[in-house]
Amino acid sequence: MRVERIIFRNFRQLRAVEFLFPHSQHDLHLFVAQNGTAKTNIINGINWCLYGDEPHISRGSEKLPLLNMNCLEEASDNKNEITIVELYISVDDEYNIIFKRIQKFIIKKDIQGRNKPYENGQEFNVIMQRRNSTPEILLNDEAVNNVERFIPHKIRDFYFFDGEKLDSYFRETTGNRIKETMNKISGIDLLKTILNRLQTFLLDITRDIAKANPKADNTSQQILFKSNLLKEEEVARDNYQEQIRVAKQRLSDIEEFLKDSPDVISLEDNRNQFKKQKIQITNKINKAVKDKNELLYRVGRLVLLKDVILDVNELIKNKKKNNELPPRIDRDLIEDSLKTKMCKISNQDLPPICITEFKKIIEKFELSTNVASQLTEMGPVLNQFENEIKKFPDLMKELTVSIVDLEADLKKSDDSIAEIDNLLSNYQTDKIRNLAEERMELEKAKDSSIGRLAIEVESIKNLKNDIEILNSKLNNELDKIELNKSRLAEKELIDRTVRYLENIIDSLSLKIKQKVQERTNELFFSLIWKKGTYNKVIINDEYNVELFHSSGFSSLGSASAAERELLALSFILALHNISGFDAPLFIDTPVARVAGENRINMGKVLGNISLGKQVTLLFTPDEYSENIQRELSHLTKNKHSLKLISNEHEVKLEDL
Amino acid sequence: MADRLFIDSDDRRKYEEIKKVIDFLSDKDTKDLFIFAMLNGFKNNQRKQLNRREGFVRTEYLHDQDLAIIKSIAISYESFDILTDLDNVFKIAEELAHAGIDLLYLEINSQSLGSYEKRFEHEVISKCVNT
Repeated sequence: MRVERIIFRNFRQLRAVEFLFPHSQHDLHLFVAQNGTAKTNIINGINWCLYGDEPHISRGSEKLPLLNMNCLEEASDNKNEITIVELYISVDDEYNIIFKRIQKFIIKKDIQGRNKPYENGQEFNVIMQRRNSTPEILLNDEAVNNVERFIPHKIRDFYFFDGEKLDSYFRETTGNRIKETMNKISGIDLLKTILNRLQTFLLDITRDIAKANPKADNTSQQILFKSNLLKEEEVARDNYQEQIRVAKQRLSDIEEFLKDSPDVISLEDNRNQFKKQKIQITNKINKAVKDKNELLYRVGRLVLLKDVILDVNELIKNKKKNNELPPRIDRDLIEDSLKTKMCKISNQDLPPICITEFKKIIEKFELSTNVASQLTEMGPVLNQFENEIKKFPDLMKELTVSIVDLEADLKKSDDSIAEIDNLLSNYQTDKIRNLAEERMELEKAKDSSIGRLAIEVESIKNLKNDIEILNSKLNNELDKIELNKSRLAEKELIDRTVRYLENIIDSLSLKIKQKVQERTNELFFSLIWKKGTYNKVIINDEYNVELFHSSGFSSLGSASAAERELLALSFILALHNISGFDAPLFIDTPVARVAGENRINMGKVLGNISLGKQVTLLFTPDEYSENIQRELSHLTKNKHSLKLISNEHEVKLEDL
Repeated sequence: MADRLFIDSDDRRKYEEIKKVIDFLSDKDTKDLFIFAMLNGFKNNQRKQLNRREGFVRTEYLHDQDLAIIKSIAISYESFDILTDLDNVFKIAEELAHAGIDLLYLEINSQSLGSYEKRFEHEVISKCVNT
């Protein structure tokens, strides 16, 4: 199958563009365009034409109307406009088919006077011309069925690619999806449909026959119940597999977006930590400043009075030393005790010796003055002042250093916050945060689906086992029933056919898997530039593709992006080869993930592939580097660039 | 003995002002403000007679530490004997505080560089280093 021609009219930036794909020895077609210059829209346009959706739509384009913006802006109020994509393909020189999708719009002005397109119906038709016969026009369901016949929707991922995702192809694609695709491409699906119908038919006949024997009838009912349950479980299994696939794909898109973005959630956590830290440090600084101020007030003023304090204290000490200061006594108490000759503390008579001693104390006290008493009181206070003055410089230094250190810590926190703010200011943080949160949710959902899938798989296995046992039991019970020969023969025939078909499907699936595996190996090892690094490619029982290193270890995860891309291409080509589904390849940004020597190698590989298959490559100018041009440019004359014109709402096609 | 310490009636607003401006005085009571002003007068060796006396601090609120400072200063101006006349001790304190609060008020309203606290800190540290 080849794409011969694509006509775009008013499809996004492709206002009036026609692409032709003439055949030459190398069926290679090159398009070069800057990002945002409708490169991906070519692939989207084909998808939209065939299936009515745009799987590779960029985030910015989501809100733009399908209708070309210039067409929209130039339209008058209430005017009808249309978007059309026509895809011309040829199949084995047998068919020429034109797929054509038309979206009708009516243009109306909104409140602000701007033109807005309102969808006004869609048409899809297929014109099919078999060789030497008249063209046939197919509409609606018939048209859709024809797309499914030639380019099934389910396997579009096997001929339209985003090159940037090829290297992660096997990470995103589940084994089951590969199996499903193999079945679809190789036609095993058709056999499965027949098998399903025969199984239902067999079940109906068996139930009918079993009605003659209550035991058999009961077993038959059980089989029916379990069979229905099995179908439900299989649907659930497929749903979980699809959920896992969708989650993986979305995760890959998110990873792609986030790969060069900062981890906003962690950064914001860090920022909050720094802010908390800042508050704590500020509180500590405030406390230290308060302590310092208090010390400055309490002791600082004493420091200024230091000389006086030292002098007065020295004088007091000398007076004490010279016994010029009396002991601190309660003179009134002693005098009162002497007067009454009774101790006022113990309330006992004073012995003569005490009276003598009391008199001596009074005499001594008489000698002292009121001044001396005051000085005695001042002494301990001035001593305390002296001590505080002595300790003051160290305490001040300690507090000052602590404040300086805390201020340095505060600056560090401020700098870190500023650094984070600066980093985040360059990104759409809300979007990144939302995506990061979505990623977290998806990871959870994916893990949950994987867990449930395992339960479903186990449950399906048990149900199949139960059904097999019940079938065997039913057969024994049916043996006991006298049946008319033709009915029995009918049942046996269908039974045998079912088993036969099951065996055929199993053996065919296995053979196709083996063949795809062999062909993938042949292609991969003929195309790879490092011949000795890898040993083999295996498609395992779960249909997961594994690449084995020459040392014997599974090494897909550690292969380079170029090697993984090559493996994906080899596998896809093998699928095409073995299934006989000779579809063209459209690869958007084919070497975006590959640099240096590997880019040259990939260029060579893509050139080689185009010898037997139509290959259309959509490069960015950076990708279409000198070395890529050296490898590919001479292989084809169909080389074009897409350039924006006028107000960037349209592109034009130019020869390279 | 007088039951209170007096200030010049013009000084009250100056005390209110320094309390607002000097950070480490913001939580201090009138007794502490009086002593701080007195120390400032002493530091600058300036005494000034009060014109219109107005009671400011009740002497019963003075702690031993406050009395020790007031009395030490009085002794440094006179001799130990001054302690026999506490009214005179307080008079010296009042005159020093009157001159001191004036100087403080002038200083906080001058264009001196840096905050008063910084200059005070610098002065105190210099005094520690030099003696």
